[in-house]
Amino acid sequence: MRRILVTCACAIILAGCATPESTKNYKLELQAGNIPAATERAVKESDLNKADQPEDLLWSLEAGTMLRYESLNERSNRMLDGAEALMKDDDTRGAVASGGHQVAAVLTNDNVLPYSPNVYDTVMLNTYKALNFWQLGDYANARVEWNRTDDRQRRAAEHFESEIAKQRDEIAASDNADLVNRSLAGSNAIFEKAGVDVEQWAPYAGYINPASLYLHGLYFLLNGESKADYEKSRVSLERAFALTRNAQVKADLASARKPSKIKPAVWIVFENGMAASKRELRVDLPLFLVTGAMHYTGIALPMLENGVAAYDHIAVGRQQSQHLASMDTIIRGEFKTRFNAILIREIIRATAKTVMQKQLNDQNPWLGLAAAVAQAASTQADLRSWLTLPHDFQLLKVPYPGNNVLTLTLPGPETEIEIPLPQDKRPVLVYVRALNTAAAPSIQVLPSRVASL
Amino acid sequence: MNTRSLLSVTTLCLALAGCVTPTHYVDMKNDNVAVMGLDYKDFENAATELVNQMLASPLMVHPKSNQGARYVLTVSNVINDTAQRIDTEQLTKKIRISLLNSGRFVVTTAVGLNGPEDAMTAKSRQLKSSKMINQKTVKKNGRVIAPDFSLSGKIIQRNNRVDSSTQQVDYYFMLTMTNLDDGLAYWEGEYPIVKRGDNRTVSW
Repeated sequence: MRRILVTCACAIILAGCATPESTKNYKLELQAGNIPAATERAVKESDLNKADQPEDLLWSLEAGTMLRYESLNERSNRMLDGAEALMKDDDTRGAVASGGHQVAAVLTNDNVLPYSPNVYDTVMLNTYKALNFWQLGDYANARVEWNRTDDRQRRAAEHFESEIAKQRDEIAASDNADLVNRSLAGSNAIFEKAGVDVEQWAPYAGYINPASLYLHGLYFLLNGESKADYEKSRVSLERAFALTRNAQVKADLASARKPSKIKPAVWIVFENGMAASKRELRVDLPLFLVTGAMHYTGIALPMLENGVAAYDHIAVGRQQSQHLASMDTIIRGEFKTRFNAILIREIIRATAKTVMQKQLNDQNPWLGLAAAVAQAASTQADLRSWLTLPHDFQLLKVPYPGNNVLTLTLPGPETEIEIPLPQDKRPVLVYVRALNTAAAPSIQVLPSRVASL
Repeated sequence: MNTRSLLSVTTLCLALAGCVTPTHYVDMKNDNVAVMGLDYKDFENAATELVNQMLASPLMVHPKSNQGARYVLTVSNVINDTAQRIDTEQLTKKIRISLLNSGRFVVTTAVGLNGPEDAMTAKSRQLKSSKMINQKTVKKNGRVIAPDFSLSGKIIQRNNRVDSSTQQVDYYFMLTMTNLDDGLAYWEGEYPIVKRGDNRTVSW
C-alpha cells in the first residue's frame, strides 16, 4: 500500500502541470486590463538572477512585451536580450545535457522540459527589440536588430525543411513505425474531432512573418542612410507585398524605388488583440474494457484556438486601418508543421507508460492501478505559448496633421485619442498596441532619423 | 582524515572545478580560438590590412610630404550593418593610431559629422573673456585646421547555409577616403573575413 501511495505522490509531483497558477492569474490580469499587475507578474516570473538576467524564457518574452506596452523600452530590451541569450542556450543544448529532462518528459509530459521557442517567437523577439531601439532613437542598434530579424526569417524556411526531414527519419527509425504511421494517418481525424479545418492552416510562403518583413522594409525606407539601405527596403517590401497584397505596402514599395520622394507622413501599425493559444485535447482510453490487463491509457494533445482581436480596425478621420498580416496564420502554420512531431512523441510516451503499467500490474494489480492513476495524472499537453503576441497586424498611412496632433479613433463606443507628433514634420511611425478593449492601448511615436529627404 | 577520504574529497573538488573555466590571460599572438561573431583578432587584422592598402596608395601621400606636410583626416561615419552589437570605434581607433604613427596623417578631433569629438578646441576659445586666465595663453581663432580627407565606411555581414550543420558568415570591412576638396574617393579598400561554424544557432 505504501508503494502505491509513493507512486501516486510521484505522479502528482512529476505530472508537470499544464497550466500553472501564475499563468492563470496572468491571463486574468490581462483580461481585466490590469496591465501594471500583469507586467509585475511577468517580470517576477522571468526569474531574474543576481546579474539581472532572466532565467525563464517564456516569462521573459511576456515581460519584454509587457514592458514595451508600458513604454519602458529600455527595460524591455534588457529583458528581451536576456530572452535571446536563453534562446541561444536552447539552440545549443546538447542531447546529453537535456537527457535527464527528456527521460522525465517520457515518464510524464513535455511540461517538464524547458520552453523551446517557436521560430515565430524568435522573429518577433528581434522585431520588438528593433522597434524598442527605434523608439529610443538608437538607430545603430535598431539596424543590428533588423539585420537579426532578417537572418531569423532566412533561417525559418531552412529550419522547417530540416524539421520535416527529421520527422520522416524518426518515423522510419521508430520501433513502432507501423503504429506511428497509422496514428499519423489519422491525425487529420484528431483535428476534425477538435472542430478544426486543418486545410486552412497553411503558413505564409517560406514560414515568413510578413509584418516583420514589412516593418524591416519600412525602417530602411524611413531611416535609410545609403543606396544599399533603400535596396534592402525594396527587397523586403517586394516580398511583403507578394505575401500581403496590401495597397499601402505597394505604395511604400513604389517609394522605396524612388526614396528621394518620401514626404512627411504618418504610418500607423496596429498590433491587434491576442494571438492563437493552445487548449488541451484529451483522448482517454480505459483499456481494461479491452484487455483486462491495464486500467488506463490515453494521450493529451495541444490544439490551437483562434486568437481574439481587440478591435475590428482603428481609424483616423474616415481612413480605416487595413489588414497587413495575421499572427494567427503564422502560429497555425508552424503548429501544423510541428503537430506530427508532437503526436509521435505523445504516442511513444503513451506506449512507454502503458507497457510500464502492464509490467507493474503483472507484479501486483494494486501497483498496476497506482501506475494507471499516475499515467492519467501525468497525461497532459504542453500548452505553453507567448500569450501577448497579437492576433493580427493592420496598417494605415495618413498625411501629417497640420497641427502636429494625430486624432486616432477606436471603434465600438467611439473613443478618440490625441497623439502629439514631433513639431518638425517628418515621416513617423505610430505604433498602436491593443491587447483587448479592457486596457487602454499602448501608443508609441517612432520618428524617422532624418527630417525628410 | 584518512588517505581514502582525502583522495575522495580531492577528486570531488577536481571534478567540480572542471565545470568552471578559470579566468586566465590569452596569448594574443597565438590565440586560435574563433567565434562566429567579430572579436579583437578580426578588428586587428582588418585595421592592419586596410591601413597597409591605404599607405600603399600614391594618392594618400601629401605633395609636400618631404617637407613634413601631412594630410588632416576626420572620421565621419562607419556604419555597423551586421547582426553583431559592435562599436565601430574598435576599427577606426586602430586605423587612426596606425595612420598617425605612419607620419602621413594627423586626425582632427575639432570637426566631426555629429559635432566635434573633443569640444575643448572650441570651448577653450571662450576663455578669452576670463579674468582668471592669462590671455596670452588663450588659443587664437583662425588657427584650427580644416580636414583634407574624410574616412567613412561600413561593416556588412552575409550569412549562408553550407549544409544542415554548417553555416558560413562573411564579413566585409569596407572603407573610403574622400578628398573633401573635390568630394572624390581617393582611396577605397575592402577586407573580407569568412567564418564557418555551427548552424544550430544564430551567428550573434
